[in-house]
Parts: sequence; C-alpha cells; structure tokens
Amino acid sequence: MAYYDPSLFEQQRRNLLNTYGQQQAMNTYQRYLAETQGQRPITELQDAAFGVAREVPRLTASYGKRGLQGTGVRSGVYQRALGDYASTRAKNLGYAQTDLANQLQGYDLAKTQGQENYDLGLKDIESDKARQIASDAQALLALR
Amino acid sequence: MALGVQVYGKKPVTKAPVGSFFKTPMNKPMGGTEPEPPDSTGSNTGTGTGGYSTVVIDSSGGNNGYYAYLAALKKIQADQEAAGASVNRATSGAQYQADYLTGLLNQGIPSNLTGLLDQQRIDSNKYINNQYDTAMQQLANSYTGQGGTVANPTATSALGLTNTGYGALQSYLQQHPSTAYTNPANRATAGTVSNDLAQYMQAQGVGTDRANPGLVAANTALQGGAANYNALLGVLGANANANQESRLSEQQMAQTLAQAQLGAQNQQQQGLLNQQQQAALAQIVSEQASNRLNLEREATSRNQTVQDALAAILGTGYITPQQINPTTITGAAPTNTITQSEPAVKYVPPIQAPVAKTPIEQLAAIPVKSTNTALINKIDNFVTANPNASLAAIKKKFPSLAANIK
Repeated sequence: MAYYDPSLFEQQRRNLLNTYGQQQAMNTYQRYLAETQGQRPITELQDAAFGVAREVPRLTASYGKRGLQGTGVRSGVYQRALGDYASTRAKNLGYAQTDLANQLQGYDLAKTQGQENYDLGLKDIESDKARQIASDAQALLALR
Repeated sequence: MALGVQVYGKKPVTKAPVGSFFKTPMNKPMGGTEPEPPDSTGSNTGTGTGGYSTVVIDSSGGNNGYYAYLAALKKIQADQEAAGASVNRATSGAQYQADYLTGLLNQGIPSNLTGLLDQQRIDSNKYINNQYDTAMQQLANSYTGQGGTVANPTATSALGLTNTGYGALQSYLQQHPSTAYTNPANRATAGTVSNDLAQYMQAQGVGTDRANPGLVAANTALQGGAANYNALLGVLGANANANQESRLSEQQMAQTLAQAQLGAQNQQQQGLLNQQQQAALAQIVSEQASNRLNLEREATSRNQTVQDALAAILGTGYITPQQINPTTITGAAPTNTITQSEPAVKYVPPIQAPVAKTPIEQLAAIPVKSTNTALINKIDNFVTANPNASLAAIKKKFPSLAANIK
C-alpha cells in the first residue's frame, strides 16, 4: 500500500494547472483570432456608410441627380431608400455583431469550462488526499 | 567324639558309660546360675526332665568334662545372647524403618511444590493480563490516541487522522464553491445596435423610424444570443452546484464510512486480543492441571514405593502391622499429620490370564483428547447404543480409530 505522500498530490496539482494554463492560453489566442476575424466585417459595414465607399453620400447624390432629393425636395422614394438602407445596415451590423458574439461566447464557454474542470480536478485531488489519509489511518491501526 | 544339643522335649542321650560320661539337667535357662561341678565319686549323674535341654559331652575322662561342659554352656549362652540381641536390633531397626516409612505415607504433593505451582499460575495470569492490558492500551492509542475519545480523538490517532483528512476536504469544498458558471463576469452581455445614421437621416428630412425594423432585428439577434448563452451557463451552473452538493455529501459519507471501518477494525482487534488472552489463560490452566497431575502421579508413585518398602519390612516378620504407630511428620516440606495407623498394603491380585477386550470395550478405552468433545460424545453414544457392536461395525463407524481396535 502507498502511504500519504504530499509530493504526489502536488505533482498532480501541477500537472492539472499546467494543462489548464495551456488550454486557457490556446483558447485565449483562438478567441483573439476569432474576434479579429469577426470584427472585420463589422468594421467594414460601419465604414461603408461614410468611409471609402461613401455609400450614404452616394445614395443621396444619386437621388439628387434625379431630382428626388435636394434643397426643398424630400421625395418619398428617397426617404424609403435611405430608411431601408439604414434598416438593412443596422440589421447587418446586428447580425455581424451577433455572429461575433456567438463565436466569442464559444471561446468564453470553453474558458469557463476549463476553469470549472480545473476546479473539479483540484477537488478530486483533495478527495483523493482525504481518502488516502483515511486509508493510511486504517493501515496504521492495523499495524498496531 | 560328638557334641550334641538336645532340643527341648527330646529324649536325652544316656548311654554313655558311668565315670567316663556325665550328664546333667539344665536347671535353668541360659543366663542362670552355673551347674554344680561333679563330685569325686562321679556319681553326679541323672536323667534330665522335661523343660530343660540336656548337653552331652563325650570326654576322655576326669574333670575335663566339666570344664568342657561349662565352656560349651557359656558359648551356647553367648550365642543365644548374641542371637537375642540380633533379633532385638532387627526388630528395633524394623520398627524404626516402619515408623520412618509410615511417616512418609500419604504426604501427597509437597506444599512447597503446590505453592510453586500456585505462584506460577498467579504470575502467569498476571503476565498474560498485563500483556492484554498493554495491547489494549496500544490499540486504544492507535485508534483514538492517548487520552482521546471517539468523539474527540487526538490528531495523530487513526480516527484523528481520518477526521482531519475529511475535515480538510470539507473545508476546501466549502471554501471553493463552483463559481465558474455562476460568476457574473462570465455571463454574456447583449450588445446593441443603434442607428448611427439617425442624425444624417434627420438632416435629410427622413424619419428615423424607417430604420427600426433593422434595428429591432439586430438587437433581437444580439439579445437572443446573449440570453441563450446565459441560459446555457445557468444550466451548467446548476449542474455544477449539484455536483458540489454531491461532493459534500460524498465527503460526509466517506468520512462516516471510514469512521465505521476504523471502529469495526478496532472491535475486531479487541476481539482478537480477547481471544488470545483467553487462549493463553486456558493454556495456563491446562499446563497447571498437567503439572499438578504429574505431581499427583509422582506422589502416588512415591507412596506406592513407601508402601512396598513397608510391606517388605513387614514381610521380614520382625514387626507386625499393628506395631506401626502414627507418626507426626516434621520437617520443612511435609506439614500434614499422618493419621493412618496401619500402612495400606497394596493388594496384589492373583495373576490371571489376560482376557481379551471386546471391540466395543477397546473402542471405549481409546484415549481421546478432552477438548475433542464431539468425538467423545460420538463414542459414548455409540457404545451406549451398541454394547455388542461388531468389529466391522465399529471400524465402519470410526474409520479413523480402526487402527486402535483389533
């Protein structure tokens, strides 16, 4: 039989911590990559309106050329077009943010589960220690 | 010439010629006055009468016969005195021997030996009981510790170690509840999408309400994702809390089980110590009985030897059994008083041709250990029920004892 050896449990704890740390690091890095990747279309969507693409000014300008928008002119067609654009833009932004949030939540979940598994592993070690001490106590009583 | 002694009652020899032979009655027994010397006529002759021995000496003549007679008479007297003294010595010696041997009779086991046996038993019992007490104390020290109890054992005892170990686990579990899923920091916060074109739309005279459908869809999607994630965390958190409760219950059960196992182990070892103590005490009793039996056997043998010696003394005829008087035993070892007035001479039965025992008698006579009560009862029951059992039947019933029965 094996008697209680704290170094054995310390070794297990270190191994557990090492594995936990590696998984968390990897998860954090992957989350960073996913966030970077997921943020890109959001940024493009946001920049599209007044950025390089200048979608909004061009939309207004196109309706202005046709006399549907301008000083004193507020056509319903233009209003609907701008409203639809704003609505679609908002929806796409929301979906993109949702996609990114969902993806990041996957990594967050992995991180949380990793934390939980680490805690459970520590508790398992503590349970093993208690059982080993009890077993050793029985052996010591038998050795009397 | 011949010298003869006529035994009392016999007819004396009277055929010797007058003057050259003389005869005289013995007027008294040995030790009496000497006979008169012969007269000058040589007429001192006569015929012996009953009650006296007659000594006839064949002499060549003259007074030489008288002196020869006297010398012979003295010699006879001296011989008779010597013989009487010898008989007296033998009788006295036999009496002394008988007294001495009688004093040795029925002394039983010397008191100093019984005292030694008793002291040995006391010492042995004390030793075993001390060993038992020591072992029990060691067991208690291992179980609950010196001065500890089941409710409050010392830290280094088996029960204390068990309680410490599981107590530490309980503290750890209580101090480390499952918080990974329930930690608010880990919960998802729903993002929002606002209409950042609202100012531009107002400037263009376009109502911002036109962007609402997209905003609603976007925010709904964001809130839905966050809500689903948080719901998932909630399920996982509840599961983790249940696991935590289960762990605490498991800790309690394991601790209780370990305590019960230690208690059972303690009881078992106490029982083992009790058995060992009883076995050791029983062995002491058995050895005492065996030693006492040996001493009884030796005492009986010694008594028999004394009886045989007494019988041999009685057989000489110098003393009779009635002459043996009770003797008070003195000395260091024997302290009892001999009350037997006569030695018990062992009766020796006439030698008879040995009678072969029947098989059932042989079975009943087989020695069996007293502890083997099962076999003893089995033999007794069989002998009682089958007094005329055949050899084959006995061997069939007791195959292991068949070799002892012919």
